[in-house]
Amino acid sequence: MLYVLIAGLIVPLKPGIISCYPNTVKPGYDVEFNVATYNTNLKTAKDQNVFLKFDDDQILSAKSGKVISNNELNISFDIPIDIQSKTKIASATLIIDNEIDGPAILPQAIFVKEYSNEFNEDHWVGDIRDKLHVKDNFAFPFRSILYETVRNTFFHVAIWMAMFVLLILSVYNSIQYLRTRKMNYDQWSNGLTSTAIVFGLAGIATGSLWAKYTWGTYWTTDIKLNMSAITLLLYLAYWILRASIEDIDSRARLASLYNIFAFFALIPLLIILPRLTDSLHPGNGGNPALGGEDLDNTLRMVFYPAIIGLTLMGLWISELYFRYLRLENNMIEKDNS
Amino acid sequence: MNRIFGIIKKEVLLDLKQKHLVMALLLYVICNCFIAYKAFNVLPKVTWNALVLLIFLFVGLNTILKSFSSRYKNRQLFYYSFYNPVELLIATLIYNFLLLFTLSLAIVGTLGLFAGIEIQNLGLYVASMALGSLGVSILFSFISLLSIKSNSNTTIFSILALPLALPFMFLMLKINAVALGLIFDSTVINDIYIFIGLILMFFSLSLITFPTLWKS
Repeated sequence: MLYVLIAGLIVPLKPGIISCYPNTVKPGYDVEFNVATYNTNLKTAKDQNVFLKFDDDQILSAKSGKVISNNELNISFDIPIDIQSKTKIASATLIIDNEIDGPAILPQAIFVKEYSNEFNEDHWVGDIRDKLHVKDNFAFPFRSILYETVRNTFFHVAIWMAMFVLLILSVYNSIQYLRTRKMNYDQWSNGLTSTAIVFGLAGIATGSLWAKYTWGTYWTTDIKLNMSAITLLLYLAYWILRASIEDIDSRARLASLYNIFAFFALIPLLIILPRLTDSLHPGNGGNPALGGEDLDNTLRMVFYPAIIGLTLMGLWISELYFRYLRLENNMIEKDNS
Repeated sequence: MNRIFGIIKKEVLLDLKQKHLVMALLLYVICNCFIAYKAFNVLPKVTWNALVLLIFLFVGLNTILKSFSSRYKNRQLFYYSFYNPVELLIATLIYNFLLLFTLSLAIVGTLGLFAGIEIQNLGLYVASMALGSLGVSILFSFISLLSIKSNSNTTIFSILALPLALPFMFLMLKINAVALGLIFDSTVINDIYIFIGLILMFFSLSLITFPTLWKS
């Protein structure tokens, strides 16, 4: 867990391009762009190249440029009239490369309208792959909108996954209690559910913080957010149910029943419903799931230990709580006998 | 099957004899609708939709509470010795569903009387109300059985039942909005399938766990 905390928070982001202005150009002109980048050393780098890539065959090299600061650049391109493209408005990727940072890209940086389709050989630079520099350092990928907050993946997503594991175990224990009526199982399910509730609250808190920095507000009318609020309400009601019944056996029985009920209500709410509706959340309703494009191998190296670490921590906390409950139970029985 | 109908008939007869319980619910509906109407005077469609469903939620709470709390405390032993638990559960569900469905139509009628109805797709609206009544009655019946055991009956029932009812409320809001013409969604049939799926899941859960609860 310590490794996750340190690695997650300290490892720097790869260099990336934030924006490119102007966005849309007409072909045939000489256009000057103002490009803003992140985590780059544009001023100090010696061997710099800037390319505009329409597709694998059509790559344009910059005509001239001026570096304003380490993170800002003015570059001018000669946009040709003839571009081969399947769509009405052709889009190009901006690639900035230097020997300190390695390549940085901004997909769909500029859009070109009103081009014609005749192919003219002069403008295009050949395959640039051998011209780009290769960097070997360990850095997180640069995703637009997310920027630095991609680090929250380790905490937010891992907390929810750990919570799921805890809840599955607690439902198993509840079912076992209903079958065998041994207090052991009920204490386990109590401990696991309580830890799961705390993890759920932490998950919502981390998600809310993340939302503030990427979406602009702490909460929004997104279905996954609403559903997770409902699930948390359900489990808080579980706590209240446990607190309101005095008799140990009936409390255990009712709590187990409600636990099973709430878990089977949770599965459609948290997993099925969000995938069916439109949602801002990654993985649901039209967004690519976090794992396809968004998970780089560098992220994975910290993400998988985070899941394992948080799950184990959750199990450890529930076991401590279970032992406390068992001790309390033994003491009560000793007093009564 | 006949025994289930027998139980339902018994409940209906009991209600006809003690009319005040059902009349209390009707009065609750009418008062609620009237107050809601007076608060707005002119009701836009969005608010109309929301009010119907809010009143529906609380009428549902009261209906199921009425049918479980006041009678079962005195007659638990009587029922236990006579009825098969599964049949009793199904009969109570059907009875509650019919009662709640009639009350929901009463809500729509009363609010429409005061503020006007503008339903575009009547079949869809009635279907969503029916599905909502069914789901809510299944859910609340189960929770009220759980809550008989605890000391403070009504509070624990509300706390347990309200979050569980929220997905039904969301789905009903969406389907009713489509039926009223507020939003246009050609795939609203998917929402109905989700609704039916949820109802089936809760129903099977209740059936499986009810005998365990009954042996107390």
